[in-house]
Amino acid sequence: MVCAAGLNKEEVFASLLSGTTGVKKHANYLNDGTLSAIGKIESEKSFNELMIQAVQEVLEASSLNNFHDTFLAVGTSVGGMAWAENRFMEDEGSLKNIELEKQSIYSVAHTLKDAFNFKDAITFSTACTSSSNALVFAKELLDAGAYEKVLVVGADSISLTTVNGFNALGVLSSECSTPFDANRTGMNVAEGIGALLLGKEPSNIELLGLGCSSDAYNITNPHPDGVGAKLAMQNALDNANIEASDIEYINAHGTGTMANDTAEGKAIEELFPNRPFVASTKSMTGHTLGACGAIELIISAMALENNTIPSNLNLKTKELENLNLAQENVSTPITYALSNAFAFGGNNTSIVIKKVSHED
Amino acid sequence: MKINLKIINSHFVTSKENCEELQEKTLVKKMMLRRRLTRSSKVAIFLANQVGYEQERIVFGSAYGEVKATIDIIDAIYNKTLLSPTAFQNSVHNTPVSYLSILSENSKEVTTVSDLFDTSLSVLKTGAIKALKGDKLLLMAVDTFNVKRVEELNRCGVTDLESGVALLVELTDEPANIFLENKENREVSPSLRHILEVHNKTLNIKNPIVEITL
Repeated sequence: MVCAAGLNKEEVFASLLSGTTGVKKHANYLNDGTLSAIGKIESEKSFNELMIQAVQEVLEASSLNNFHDTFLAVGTSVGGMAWAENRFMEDEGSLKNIELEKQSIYSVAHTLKDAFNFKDAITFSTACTSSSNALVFAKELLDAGAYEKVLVVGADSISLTTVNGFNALGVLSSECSTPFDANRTGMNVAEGIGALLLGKEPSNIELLGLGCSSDAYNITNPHPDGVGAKLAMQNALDNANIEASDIEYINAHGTGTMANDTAEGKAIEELFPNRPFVASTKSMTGHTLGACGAIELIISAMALENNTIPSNLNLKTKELENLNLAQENVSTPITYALSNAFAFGGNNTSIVIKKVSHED
Repeated sequence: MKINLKIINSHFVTSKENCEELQEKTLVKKMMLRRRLTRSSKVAIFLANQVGYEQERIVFGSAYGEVKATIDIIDAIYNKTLLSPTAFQNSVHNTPVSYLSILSENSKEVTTVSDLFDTSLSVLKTGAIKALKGDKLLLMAVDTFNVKRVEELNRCGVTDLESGVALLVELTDEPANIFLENKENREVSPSLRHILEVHNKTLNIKNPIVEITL
């Protein structure tokens, strides 16, 4: 995992626990020249180099020698947009040197297939649920017995398009976001890479249940009562064959926008009367768009492994009183967690994971 | 692994410029919604209607996504002019099926894949795995790029700038009679070639069943 909060999963989790945000103000992104608060990865390496490095690290940590029999499921919302923007600017507004393999959504898979020679690959692009939908498909492939191993990679880099686009929608905060705060001012666009190798062999963390739904309401705004969010979470619980009361921690989508956090909060309040801990990590990682599902599932798994829930950074005034928002890090035994991702078009995905005791 | 899908219905629409038969006034009665639809959204809504889509789960594919919105955005950034919020909200790859889910009040799973020239093959593979649940699925691939400056991007020499194919499918144990041969079609975007091959082969078969290899 790589994002503005750290260059590997240990660094990121340490940042989350220490309340260190990777979101900083930058001057070179907004068209109008104003500062934008975004989550940019600080590294001398290119985004593609970081992505290959992240996948290489997963390979080295696994029992595999290579990925030649592994399926690659990619989730990305912008693909090679940042590359295309640079090319377009350098060529003074000409499209003639835009290469589809580098510009398109497929560019992430193209880069990784070149580097690792996967057996096959599919790229999911459903905006901010892209890597969550890649995770859904990965589990379906494994459950069907089609593959023994599936690598899921969520990857999105910062682009002028997304920073200016979210600014045009009026949801970009000029400060570090404060999800679920009554006085929140919006979201922070960010970049990130999350890579997870899924397989059938025993692991400390089990991908237990998946739930998808559509709001069928509006192209950008979620249903104000969180109807689609609630359905996705219920579908994930049903798929996991557990009750809502089993969930102890929800890694919320929690973007920091007024619309998302109210809708998601209402859905959680309604579905989880036992009041599990709820926290969004986007105030520290920024909103990594299509990568957030993979990144936040890794964070959720680390919370389970460490029995520690990172707090909602800078949360001062709760909007929804019945939501059990972690205002400081919480040390508590956790077995089940649920991670949410929601997207443009009312595309919703929820994933349940379980910490597996080797004494079971 | 091989999975056989019964093709319950299929439809193909294509045009050198703009598909004229999309019936948007009939299919999208709300004017405000109709005005916001992208070309790919109109094609997707039409195709869904043609194959008898009700509220099935959807697997959608597009190689290039919303090309007009993308070019409008990048032009605005280059020229340092105001970005259109509508262009941005319509710029993601799942835009057409998001509008379709809104229009049809479909709260089920909708997913979108994009793998350049293998996009529609990815639609078929994703659809095959999801069909193992036993429900009907709408599989669809659409690419539209009749936009300004298309000549700078259309390096394959595709002649039909708007095309889409939809299949309504379900899992079957019956033997397959359609096998993918990766046939080329020089008129339509190569991103659609696999699903178009399936559609074309259904035309002369009574009970079309396609074998998908994963």
